Amino acid sequence: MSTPAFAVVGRVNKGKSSIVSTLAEDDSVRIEPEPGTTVEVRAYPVMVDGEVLFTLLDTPGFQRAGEVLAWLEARQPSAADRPAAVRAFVDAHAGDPRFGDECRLLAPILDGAGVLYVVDGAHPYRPNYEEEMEILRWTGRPRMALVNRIGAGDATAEWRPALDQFFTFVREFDAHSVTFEERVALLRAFRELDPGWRDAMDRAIAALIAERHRRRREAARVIGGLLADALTFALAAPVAPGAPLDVERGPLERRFHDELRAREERARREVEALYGHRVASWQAVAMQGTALEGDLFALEVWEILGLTPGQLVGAGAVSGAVVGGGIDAAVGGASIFTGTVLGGVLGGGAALWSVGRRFARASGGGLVSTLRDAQRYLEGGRMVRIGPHRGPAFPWVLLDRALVHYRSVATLAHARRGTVTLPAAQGEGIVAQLGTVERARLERLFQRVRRRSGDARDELVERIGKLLEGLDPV
Amino acid sequence: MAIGTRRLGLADVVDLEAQLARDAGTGADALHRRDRALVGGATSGDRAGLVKGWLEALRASAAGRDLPGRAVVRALRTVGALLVLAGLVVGSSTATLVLGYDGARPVNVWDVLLVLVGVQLVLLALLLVSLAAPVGSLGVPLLGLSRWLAQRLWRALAQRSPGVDARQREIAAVVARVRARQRLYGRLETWTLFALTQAFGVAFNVGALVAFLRLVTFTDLVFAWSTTLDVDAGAFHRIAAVLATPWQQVVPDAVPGLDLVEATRWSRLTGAFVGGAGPAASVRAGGWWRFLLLAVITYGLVPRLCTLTLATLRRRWLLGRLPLDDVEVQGLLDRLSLPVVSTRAGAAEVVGEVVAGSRALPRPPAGTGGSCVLVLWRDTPRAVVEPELPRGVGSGVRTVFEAGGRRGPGVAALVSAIASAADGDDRLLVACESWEAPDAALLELVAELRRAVGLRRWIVVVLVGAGSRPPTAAEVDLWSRRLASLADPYTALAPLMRAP
Repeated sequence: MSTPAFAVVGRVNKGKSSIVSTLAEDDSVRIEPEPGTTVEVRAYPVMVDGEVLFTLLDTPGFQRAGEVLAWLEARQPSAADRPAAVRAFVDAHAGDPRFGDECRLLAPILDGAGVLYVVDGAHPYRPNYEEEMEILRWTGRPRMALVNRIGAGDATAEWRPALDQFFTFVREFDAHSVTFEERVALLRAFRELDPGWRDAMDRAIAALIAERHRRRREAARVIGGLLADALTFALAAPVAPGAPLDVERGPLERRFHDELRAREERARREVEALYGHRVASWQAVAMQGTALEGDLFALEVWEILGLTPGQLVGAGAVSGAVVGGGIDAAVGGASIFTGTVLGGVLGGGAALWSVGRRFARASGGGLVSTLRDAQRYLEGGRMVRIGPHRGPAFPWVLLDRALVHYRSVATLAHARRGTVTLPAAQGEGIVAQLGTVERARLERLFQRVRRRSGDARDELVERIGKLLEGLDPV
Repeated sequence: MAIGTRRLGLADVVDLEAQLARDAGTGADALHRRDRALVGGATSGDRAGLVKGWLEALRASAAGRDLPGRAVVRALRTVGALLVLAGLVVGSSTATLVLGYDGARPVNVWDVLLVLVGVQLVLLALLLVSLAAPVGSLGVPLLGLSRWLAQRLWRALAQRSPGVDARQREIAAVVARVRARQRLYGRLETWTLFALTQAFGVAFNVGALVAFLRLVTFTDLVFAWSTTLDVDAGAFHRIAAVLATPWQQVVPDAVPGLDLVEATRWSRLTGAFVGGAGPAASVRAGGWWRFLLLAVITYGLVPRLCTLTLATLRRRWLLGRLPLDDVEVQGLLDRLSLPVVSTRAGAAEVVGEVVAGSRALPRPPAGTGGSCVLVLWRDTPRAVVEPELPRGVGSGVRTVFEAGGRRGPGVAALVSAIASAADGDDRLLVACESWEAPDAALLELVAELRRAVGLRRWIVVVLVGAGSRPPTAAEVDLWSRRLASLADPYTALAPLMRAP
């Protein structure tokens, strides 16, 4: 083989596929308690810009190692002839279904692959494993043993003395809870198996680390985008003259919440896809309670938005006239009520401008919107606008949920299957551990994002990137 | 591939935003593969160079062939050309109107100065003020006229672009997107629109000057000035002299003298020059044209040429220094500069048989004190199994065999020995460690034993847990399913529950 290849071998049901799944970040690998589900050698090429730098090979498990070794030992080859003896075994049993798995797992090793021998370190060592180890030693290929613990027990100390005799390197590797750094450390150990593999492995490791950084930045973009969108998201609907507000309020509230939840879901799927999780599913309590409703529809906001433009302009004009009248009174009427008139006009104008601004936010702004607002004003129509969410806790809850989800996704080994349940964080998870300065900085950013200020969105993404660095250090 | 330093053009900016908008719904990995393939593994170059190279490759590909950047630039040029044309027409028409002389009443110098110089100076001043304090960008609806006009213009541009409705909609969406990203493109938009208006201004002045020269050359123009105010010829001369300051050293003939000013004061009451000079004065009155022509050039054309040059240079400068540091472009740059890493399997997995669901095996009949033959599978420790057997399966051990290893006889010989050792009523117990999977070798042994001892002899697979724990439910379930695949009603499974 021209590029490094590593055959992951071992007895059936010792976690070979789990290790391959985690190392290759491929959650499509079938992992079953049933022995013998891996019936063919499956290649997982690690490619950088299309160039294969090394390949992981998942193999069927040993099932008749004792008989294989007995066949080999019966030939009594010299040490130099042992690899040839193994090849002779494979050739002799190529069509024998009894030894099909052994032939398939040995073939890539005989073709030049390194050996990654997997044992279950949670259960006791048994001498019969020496049969498999001996066969692998006979192949003459560079070998490493991986102690994978399937279960709560720890018999690693029992295994070590035996493994050390058969393998150049012995590493512990829990396929279900390994971190990215531990994976990289293992790959660095692979490079030591054969000096000729170092260059390719170094390039692969560098690319994998760069890719990890890229994913983290992408995730920051997704989460920052979610926050910025959620903090500025608003829904508006016109209310027919005379129609009660409560009729519009319910459906609009539901639409608003559903849309926010849908955006959060979309962002989560994006982050999961970034990290190659296509099978595992995450279960979390949907945003609800005080995180959403409590702060969104404060009575004050609702009542202000419920006023007709005429009511607002009238109220403005009256208040302006009162102030102007005070000035008239102060000069003893010498101003001939100019103050009252001007005050009324200015107050009403300011209120009209304010209405225009509010409607503009809901309907796009600009001259045309203002004219439409004026038309609504004349018709006595009302506009109901929901959002953006003004609750002070809202961005924190959203951020915390996103961070908790991100940490789970970034650290979840691809060998894990099933549903991952996230804690019901309500602003008390990861963000609670942030320092005062960081919190203040984020709070300012939230406020700027809400005001749609300049590059606040980009700054928010940058800050979230820093937070993700803490959750997924590389 | 190394990409050098290159500048982005307006078409590039539009295409960049159009593509980013198109990519919004596509997965990050797919985009990474596409973009990396497009630039062929770019590793160096500045941001603009990388983006430019990517855009060029994109346009050459099927996906980017219909990007709207060039159409928008073409549309902008068309609008610019239309504005220039309009400026020429309006300028020449205005000059023709203002300089209209039918022989009855001379052209009023005040009118020429007011319309062709004064108005332009006021507009220029307003323009400079609006550049210094862009109130239109504050978002106040009634003051946002310029923004509204810009919006109209962009929409008109979108509608002008060739293609179907979808393309127009995309261009409109891209324009809206560009306009929404004010931090990045706000100034670029301002100066682009500014350059268009200044092109109009230059054309207006050129049109006015052409019309002016045509009238001077091919007609006899007579100029005069008049006023109701208490302004004497000396004061008007001083005003004219101040206006002529910029060129008085270069073209002294174009500075009206006091005698010309005095001679060309017009009285509408008498319908004649106040000085009463007759035809000679009329001839002299034609001497104003040089002054007026240079006034239009100096205060109309030159400032507009300056602002047009400024706008063009500024726009180019802004394009050359686009920060390209926003979140989306940074993502693009990541995709362009970082390699695509793939680790997943290329081919679909071939999966072996999986026995679905739980299969209950028959329980062995309770032991009556009879004996059994015990087979220890692969190092199952006899010391653990044997003392527990009476409690588990109710039998005592007659003979013990070891199986599953390389040492000892092969399967056939072993099975033969076991069958020979067992009495007619002896059960066959095969002790296995529960955490080991029931593999093909074990199933083969059980099947061979069945063949050797007949159909109705109980074969009981005894499961031993790890350490002091009994076999787990999951382990028992797995063993049950695998043994059930033998379809043998006299093969039973007995988890060994050791005393604590």
